[in-house]
Amino acid sequence: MSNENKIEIEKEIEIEIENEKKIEIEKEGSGEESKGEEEKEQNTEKEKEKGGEEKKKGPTKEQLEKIKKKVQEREAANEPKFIKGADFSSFDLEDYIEGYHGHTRMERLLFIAQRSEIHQQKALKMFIEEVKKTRNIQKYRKIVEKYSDVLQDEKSLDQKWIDKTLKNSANTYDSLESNLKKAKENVNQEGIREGNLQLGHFYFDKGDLKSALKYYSRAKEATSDPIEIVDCCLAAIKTAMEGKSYSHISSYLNAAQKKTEDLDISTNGILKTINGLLQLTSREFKTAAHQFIHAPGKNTFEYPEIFTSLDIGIYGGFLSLATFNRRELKRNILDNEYFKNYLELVPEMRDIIYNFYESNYTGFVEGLNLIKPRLLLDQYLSSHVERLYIRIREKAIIQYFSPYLTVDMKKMAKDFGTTLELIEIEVSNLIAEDKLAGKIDQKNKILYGTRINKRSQTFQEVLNFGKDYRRKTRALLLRANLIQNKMTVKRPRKKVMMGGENMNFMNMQLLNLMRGFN
Amino acid sequence: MEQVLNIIFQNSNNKESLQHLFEFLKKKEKIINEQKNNLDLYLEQLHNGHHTLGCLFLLAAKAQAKNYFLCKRLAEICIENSVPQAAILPLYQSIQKLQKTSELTPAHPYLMLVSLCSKNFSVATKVLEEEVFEIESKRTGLNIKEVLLYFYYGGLIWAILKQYDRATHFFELNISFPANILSRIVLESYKKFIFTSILSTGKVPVLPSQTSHVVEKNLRQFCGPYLKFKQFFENSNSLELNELVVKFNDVFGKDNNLGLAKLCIQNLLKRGIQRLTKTYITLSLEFVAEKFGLGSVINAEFYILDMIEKGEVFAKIDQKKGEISFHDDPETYQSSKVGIRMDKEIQEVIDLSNQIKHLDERIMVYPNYIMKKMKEDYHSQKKSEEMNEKKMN
Repeated sequence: MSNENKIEIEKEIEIEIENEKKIEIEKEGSGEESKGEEEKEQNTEKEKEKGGEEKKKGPTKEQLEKIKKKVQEREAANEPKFIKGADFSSFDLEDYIEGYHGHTRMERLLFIAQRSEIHQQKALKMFIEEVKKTRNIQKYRKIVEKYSDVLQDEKSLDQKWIDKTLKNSANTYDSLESNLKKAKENVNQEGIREGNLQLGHFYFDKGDLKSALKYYSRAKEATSDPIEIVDCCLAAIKTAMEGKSYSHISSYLNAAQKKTEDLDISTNGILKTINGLLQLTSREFKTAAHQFIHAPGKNTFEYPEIFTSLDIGIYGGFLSLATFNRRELKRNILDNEYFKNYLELVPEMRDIIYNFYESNYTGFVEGLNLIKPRLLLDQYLSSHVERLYIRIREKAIIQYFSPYLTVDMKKMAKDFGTTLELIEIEVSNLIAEDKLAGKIDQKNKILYGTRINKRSQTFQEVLNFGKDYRRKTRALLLRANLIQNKMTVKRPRKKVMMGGENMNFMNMQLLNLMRGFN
Repeated sequence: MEQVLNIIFQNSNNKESLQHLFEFLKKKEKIINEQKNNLDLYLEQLHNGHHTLGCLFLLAAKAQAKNYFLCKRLAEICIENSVPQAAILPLYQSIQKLQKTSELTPAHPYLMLVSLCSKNFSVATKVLEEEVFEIESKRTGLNIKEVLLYFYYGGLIWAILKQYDRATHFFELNISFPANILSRIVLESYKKFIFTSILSTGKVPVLPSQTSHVVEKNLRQFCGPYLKFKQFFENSNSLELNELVVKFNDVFGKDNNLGLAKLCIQNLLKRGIQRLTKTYITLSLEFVAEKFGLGSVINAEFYILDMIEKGEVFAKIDQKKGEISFHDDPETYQSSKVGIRMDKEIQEVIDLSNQIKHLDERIMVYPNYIMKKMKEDYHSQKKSEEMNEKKMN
């Protein structure tokens, strides 16, 4: 029960944070802008975009205060903590981060820094390096201040960098703006698209995700070439992923997928993978697994701004292990040539799947334990790892038991690398949840498979169903009759009283009758 | 009519002829009915003590609807005079005579009431067994309160007879009747519903979808301790449950539900053990004692023995080794009894579906329904015409 509660709370918090982040993004946007005209334009445009969400001229001071408090509370509650109970010493940070480029590199480094104590310092240093390559001053400031005690050398804000970046930003902004204006005056569609796109990149780099999205969408509308549209969509998706705005991701994804029906397979692959990530964030594990597995095709593809090819192997393999049954596993993974290529890139995952399929449970459990740190430090998987691990383990136990009539639980415990007591608890839970058909002989520690007597069961079910049906039908008939006779539970009206004499007479008769009976 | 009276005089003397008299009177019912105005006269002629059967018929003829008022008064008088059992038989007979098949009459609730007061349930069970669902309020003068009371009292009787499944069904009916306000009877039904459903299935089902909103909303308001009880029961914590009952002792006591509450607590233990049978083939008595906080092995043995005797669990206890081994339900459904039962139930279902067909036919001919249907058809026809016009334009 607590797991379900957690899921619900997590979902709520995600939505709240998304809302808050949007508002924060807006605040940042309105704070950073130095151009007066632009500000007014932006504000009016924001009004149009938001519709009824905020008040007319942006949120009032009081509202801002309230929102700030809420955000702080939520952030305090949702503060990323170190993951305990996992050994991260085997995790190679540089190896991992090698494949990622751009903003996702930065994001992932921050994620790891917040969750692995061992790697925190190194990850933060690398993060600072990365953030300096962008124009995102806000983020730089925030992280340096927050982790100042951990960062020893870089403790002080690099003011020089900040100033340089500000100046640079202002200049770039000016030139981009004038380019766009010119293109608009000359009604140069190509120029308009390019100008909007560049501005979108500019804001993305600054960390103003909301504005970036706006410009990307304008760029997309300014062209009809499918390839260019897809480019704009991908840029928008990248932005939306960073801002965790899932509705945007799905709408741009849909738009892009419509266009790629005609296009090459590699873009399709990229889009499918992104779709997989989207499904993963909404806990649709099986759909996500399908997306990852069917993404690979004849051509290779890559999009290191969001994922690496290793990710496809890992996500696809892990999620299918957790959600597919044996037949699906065979069809989708073992017989799937294209996906296997990606799986080979991650031999640990490949081994786990093969061990599971070949019922080599010791190897299977060892492999799972080995890969756990890597999964826990992955930005998209981390929150789901524990839950999925439990699921995978359950599946393994069920598979272990399925060919046998009786199983010695001591051997079972050894094969799964746990103690007898623990395995007994796991098995009894599975039986209680109807996932395992068996009974435990506690004295001899044996698990017996039950031959469910289908015949008796059917009889029982049929008789119960018949009784239920008869009851319900009669109840409905009664109800229909009540309604037909216009009888409902209402306020009582005055009852019609009978005449006094008649009553007395009747009473007399009754009493006499009684005496007669007795 | 004179003839009838004479025969009554003649035959009311000995028991054998009473049977004949009864049949004779039944045949002559029509004649008796026609003489409505003069019945009083005739009644005076008969001496009530001797000619009770005749009187009954005449009185029945006197006013069919009034007859039910009679029942009510009868019940009330008997209860006042502390002889509730005296009313049982007459009420039963009046139901038998005046009832159409499967019909609910005003006599029903009073029969139940009287049976409860006199703690004599043999007659009542016969009536309860027959499932009622027909109602003709014009002819019988039935009102909704009597309907509610019938199911409430009926539920109580089933609960006393430990048929919790049926009791739950009755209470559930009460709760789901069409309603504009919450009636006290429904409230009490709900409280008992919680307990009896726990006793029969171990959990409280969701209220059926036909329950009116008014009822649902208000139930929560007035049944606080009961809902807490339900919650704690679902958490299977017998200590907390005990504390709760002690805390709300007066609330439960005022509603006369203390007994049910205590039974439920006992039930918790039973359900726990029944769950065990699903997971284990053999179990040590120590394990059971520990898991359910029964104190000693002897207590555990005692409880399980009790359950085995009542047929609530199928097991054998090995006293020397301190173990229990569970078997499956030995019922194989291969006896002829099962065949007969299935036949009977199939027949009931066929009858029911006939009933539904009749109801359907009745509705189809009902003037209001025909009018509504015609209006609907007209509207939809118009709409489709408009759509066609638009398409053409």
